[in-house]
Amino acid sequence: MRTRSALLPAVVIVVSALAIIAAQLQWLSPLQGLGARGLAPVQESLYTLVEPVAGYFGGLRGAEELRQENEALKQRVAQQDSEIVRLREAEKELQDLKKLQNITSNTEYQFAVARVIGRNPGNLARTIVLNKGSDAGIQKGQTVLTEGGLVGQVKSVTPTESEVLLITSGALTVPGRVQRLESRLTGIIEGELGGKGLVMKWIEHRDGIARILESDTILTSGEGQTFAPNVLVGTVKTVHSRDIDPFETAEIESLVDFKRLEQVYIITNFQPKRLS
Amino acid sequence: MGYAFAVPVLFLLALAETTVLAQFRILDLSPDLLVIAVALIGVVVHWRAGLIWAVIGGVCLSLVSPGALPMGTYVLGLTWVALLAALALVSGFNQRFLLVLLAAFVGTWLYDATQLLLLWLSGVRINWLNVVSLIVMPTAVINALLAALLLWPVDWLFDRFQRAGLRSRPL
Repeated sequence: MRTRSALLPAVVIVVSALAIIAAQLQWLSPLQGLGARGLAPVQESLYTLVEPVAGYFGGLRGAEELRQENEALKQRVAQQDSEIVRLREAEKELQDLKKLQNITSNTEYQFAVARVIGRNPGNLARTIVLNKGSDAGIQKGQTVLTEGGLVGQVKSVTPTESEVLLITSGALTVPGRVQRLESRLTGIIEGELGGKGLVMKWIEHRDGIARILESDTILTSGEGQTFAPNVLVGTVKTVHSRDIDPFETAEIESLVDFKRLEQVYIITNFQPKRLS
Repeated sequence: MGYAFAVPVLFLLALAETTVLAQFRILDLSPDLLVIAVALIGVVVHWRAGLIWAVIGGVCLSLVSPGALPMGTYVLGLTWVALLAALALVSGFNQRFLLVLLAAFVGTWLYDATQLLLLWLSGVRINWLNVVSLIVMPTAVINALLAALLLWPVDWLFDRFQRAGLRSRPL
């Protein structure tokens, strides 16, 4: 009996380690999807049931935070109003050019709309569970976004559910570029588990020309075809340059509130060639 | 009855952890319900019962959130929590209040260390200082406090079960 008792933890540890290896080799994918198949309605009901209550308490807790956010957004709206006027002019100009050159746009995405119905257990992994799966045209590797910009990438799919890895998880590398026409600088955007946000890195040219400026808009570049191109990632908050580092870095501020995601959009007509 | 009772309870706890608690966060963190449950069962009932709860609970977490971490990670993480209760009992330490605090606090560190190791091995970039100071440490404190608060209610509940003949017998 004593031997059996002593062996039990060892058996559990060995079996768990073997299960982890098997899961990494994708041998357990059918088994892992099994649970999710029937769970979507239960998870959705529970999540939706609690959402208004959590929203109420969240509102109380974050009143000051909301006031500051409101001020910042008002300023942003004012800036964007003037930007819209400029962009309308630019759009008209572009349409005229297209007519002239018979260019057709290739950035018309089709979206599946999904609700967030769960999150990863604990506080370390950074995933969200959505109420739509392969039945709604969602596939592994597709790009996920909200009105605020890029959210992440679909990591696993069942017919009724999908799980999304967030760009802040530290597990994804997103090819990005500066939207400004005079720059068009490309680099890689990474998050970091426990980090405060997103960082864009690029190789320094050392020619004295500033290719990235504060408040520059950063989009996905589509390089490597891991993420759909031209999706907003965020704006440049600060730029760092060190002589000893071959890379220059910029902190990117995303408009997405990753802690309060409710509804997301999945680009269903872009198929990634290689998963990051 | 035995361990059959554990399956629905742990399944509900796993569901609650990923849906309800994901929205009610303390200091922007959510408590690990399964760590707390395993620590409590390991101390109140028996460490072997805690180990069985760790296995079932870990599988439930993997089923509820299949893409977060590879299957087996949660089982492995929770196993350390059950073993902590066992180690303390073997050493003759019998202050149950301190034992549950210890199992939940140190157990959270080991549970998170298992996950972090797996994430790091799979190429996730980790800011170790921030993760330890802003996530692991506060979560360990929250889990330990909640486990200590729940010790007497759980003790009372299992005492009632024992009287009704429903208590899970150790293997």
